[in-house]
Amino acid sequence: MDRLDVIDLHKEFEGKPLLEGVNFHVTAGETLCLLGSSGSGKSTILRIIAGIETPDAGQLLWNGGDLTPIPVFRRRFGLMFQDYALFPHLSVKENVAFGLRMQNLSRTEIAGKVRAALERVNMSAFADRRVTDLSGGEQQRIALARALAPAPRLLMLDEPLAALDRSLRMELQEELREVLSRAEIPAIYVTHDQEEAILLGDRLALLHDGRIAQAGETEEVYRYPANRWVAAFLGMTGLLEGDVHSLAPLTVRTDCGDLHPQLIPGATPPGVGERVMLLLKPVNLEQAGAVNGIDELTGEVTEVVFLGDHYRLKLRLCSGTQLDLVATHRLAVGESLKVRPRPGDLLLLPDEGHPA
Amino acid sequence: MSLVRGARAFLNRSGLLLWALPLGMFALFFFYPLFTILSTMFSRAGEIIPSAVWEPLLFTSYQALLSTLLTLLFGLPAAWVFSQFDFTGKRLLRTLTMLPFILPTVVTAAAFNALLGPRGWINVLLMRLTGDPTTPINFLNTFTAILVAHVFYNIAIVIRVVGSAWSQLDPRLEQSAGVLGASPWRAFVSVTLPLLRRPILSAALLVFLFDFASFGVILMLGGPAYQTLEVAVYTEALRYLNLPMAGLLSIIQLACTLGITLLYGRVNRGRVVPLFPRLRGEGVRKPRTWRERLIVSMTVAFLFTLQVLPLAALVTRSVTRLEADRGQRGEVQTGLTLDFYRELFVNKSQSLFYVLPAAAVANSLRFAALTTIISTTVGTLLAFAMVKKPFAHRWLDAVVMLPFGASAVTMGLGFIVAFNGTPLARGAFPWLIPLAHSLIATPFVLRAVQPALAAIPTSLTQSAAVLGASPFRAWWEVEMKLISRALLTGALFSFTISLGEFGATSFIARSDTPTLPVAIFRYLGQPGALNYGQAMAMATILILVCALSLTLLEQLSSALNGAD
Repeated sequence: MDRLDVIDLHKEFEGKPLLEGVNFHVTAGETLCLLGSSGSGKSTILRIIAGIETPDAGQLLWNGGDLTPIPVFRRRFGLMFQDYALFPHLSVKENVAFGLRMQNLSRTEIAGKVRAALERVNMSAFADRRVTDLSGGEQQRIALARALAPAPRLLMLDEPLAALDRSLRMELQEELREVLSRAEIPAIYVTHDQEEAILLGDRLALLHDGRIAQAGETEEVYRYPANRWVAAFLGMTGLLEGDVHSLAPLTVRTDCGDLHPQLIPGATPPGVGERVMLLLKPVNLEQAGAVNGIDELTGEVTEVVFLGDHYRLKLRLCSGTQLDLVATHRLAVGESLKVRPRPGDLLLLPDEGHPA
Repeated sequence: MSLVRGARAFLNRSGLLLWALPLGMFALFFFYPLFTILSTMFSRAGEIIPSAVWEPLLFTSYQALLSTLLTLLFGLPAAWVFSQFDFTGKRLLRTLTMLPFILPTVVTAAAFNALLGPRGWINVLLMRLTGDPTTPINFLNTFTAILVAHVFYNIAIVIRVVGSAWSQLDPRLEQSAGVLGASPWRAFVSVTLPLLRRPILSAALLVFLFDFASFGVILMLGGPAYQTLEVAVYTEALRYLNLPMAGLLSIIQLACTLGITLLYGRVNRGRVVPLFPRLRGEGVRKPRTWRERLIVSMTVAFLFTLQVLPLAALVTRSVTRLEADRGQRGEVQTGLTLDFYRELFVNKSQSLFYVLPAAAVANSLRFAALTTIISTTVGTLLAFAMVKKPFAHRWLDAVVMLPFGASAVTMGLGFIVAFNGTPLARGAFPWLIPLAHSLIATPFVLRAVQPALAAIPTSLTQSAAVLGASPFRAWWEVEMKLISRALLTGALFSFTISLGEFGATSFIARSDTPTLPVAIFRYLGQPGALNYGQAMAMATILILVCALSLTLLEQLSSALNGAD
């Protein structure tokens, strides 16, 4: 099974360190979403894997073999550029055929593969059009077809939906998910949009400060964010400080009373008296009442936003911490509210490393 | 092994291989001749007459200033008409006004000769009407002829530069001035004119530069009484054989044109981009009031008279017999004839130095083809070097652009001083001519190709590489294909420039291998109706080639704009 290992990648950009030891891997049949804010070096990682740029240090292993001596045009990886980089002087068909021509295939073979690639993205009718006449979404599809046509060993997509408007993005996300799951190759999908990442990624790798802050199965990452930055990046902002009071059961004394957070599996337990940070994940009000949470938190509703099928509330807790709530019924601003977070919604964050 | 690899890496990084050929060419064929001129000047300083410098310098400046003012006087109203109004024949007229711009000076001289010269239409017809044997209009060899030809040449610059800036001015600016209480005239003076100051200055400087460096027009239309620096270089070098004096004059000329070029660069630096570019055709309207109609039709009539009449006179004169051939007596058969064209292929002269006009055509085509190959190769290499390996970019850009600022005459003088007696000049093939033409044409290729190349996003070549294209294939299939139109534009320019080049060629063309412009010049200077007719015929051939190339260029540029 094909596998790419990225090991301790370092890269400087204009004299400043951009990547400071990036490690992750991706295997056949899975989509790894590389998530990070803009300017974090996500695209640079893709360009290094593709061979367009060389790392200052670190290794790329393809099935255990070093990729470094192989020039970009012999790696047989597919890369879809953020601006699509379609050749303006070639038609749709010729664009898709480009990679196949580089493999010196026969005319009939190329024609067949081009047809298949265009069918895969539902663009057969556009074969003879000029790429400059296409809309953004159409160009995106052609760029995908062009990347897939030569049957790359690995597919990389650099923010493929960033330039499109919202409704089109939703539509194409579905299509991309289907295409990616059908292509039985490793895929790396770069985005700064966590919703897109959840939808498309089998696994997530979050890039922050030149390193992978956390990598793992999408659900696992959501369940147990590795630190404050990851939690914040994924939209979890409720933080509460406190001191460890006892270990069994784990009790943390905070301004809002004694709380009983869960420890992330595998994390080293804190010592008694240690100052720690608790993460309060957004609470679903309906479920919070039904499941027996141990701890009870009281707060005042400060904001109510209607979001179509539900409401998003902000609850100011004792210490001024904001807790996000999801509710199906309307509540009034200023109303006082008691919530009991489910055990998994109150976590002890393992480290204090990265401030949000 | 590692030394080889290190050397290769250095070459790759610095792009020295890309720079090598162009820089070598410029060093050997521009800077070395320039150096030879200087050393001749200093080693034979005794032959220099310093006081003889002032007269041509003053006259050059004076005629250039006057020509520029006249060009603005007639060009600005035309620019206004072109930018504001839509009228029938606008496209054609625009193309026609561009024609002189690429027309060889020899052709221009021949055209005015055909209209107003002693054998031209007007004089011949007037003489026939009055029966008076003296020519009623003396246009050739006057100061007026120089001025008219300069306006003819450069009015297109004013129309293009000022007209396009004018048409891109946001009409709302003038409208809001009106809303604020300004009369149309005050709105024009206080809003439009200040906004157009830079384009007008820029056009004026360019016109001044061209008028200052004018050679063929002065030599052929001004006659021996008028000596600009360029003509003085020619006279000193070829008539009095005073090379040090010619050298001094050409160095002064070079310094002046460089100064003007630098000034021009300053004016154009950070040129203001219109804030609200209009949609195509927005703000352009048909003339409505009778005053507008009058102004538009007067402009059209004026431009037509200035640009079309001389050329039409030339073309018709080449197929009309109006007077007796040399040695012919009695009543002349006047009327249409193709004799002048037929005679191009007939060798009548017994002279040893006589060259068949058809051979001059063949020479010109051969030189133009070579020039096109050399200048597109060198220009493209340079464009790649500048865009990909901007290694001391500004400095090298200046080095390459210097020959552009240098006049053709300086180049021609440098060539004879540096290479006379060398195999380059004496060999079976006159290599100096295509080389000189290439030096003149390369900047045009560079100016056409460089922006096209710089506009290619790097992601295109990178994505070609990811798709499996080797560096060579990515270069060939993506970059070269994308600059192919610009390359063709540059090639066409080179070809046309070479066909019409007169200044440098007049120095280095050997008597047995004249080019078409040189042959036209010689035939114009010889007596007899047949020689005159043949000169007209050859000039007509040049016009047709230039018109064809201009049409292709316009189509290429509109295709280029359409593709964006």
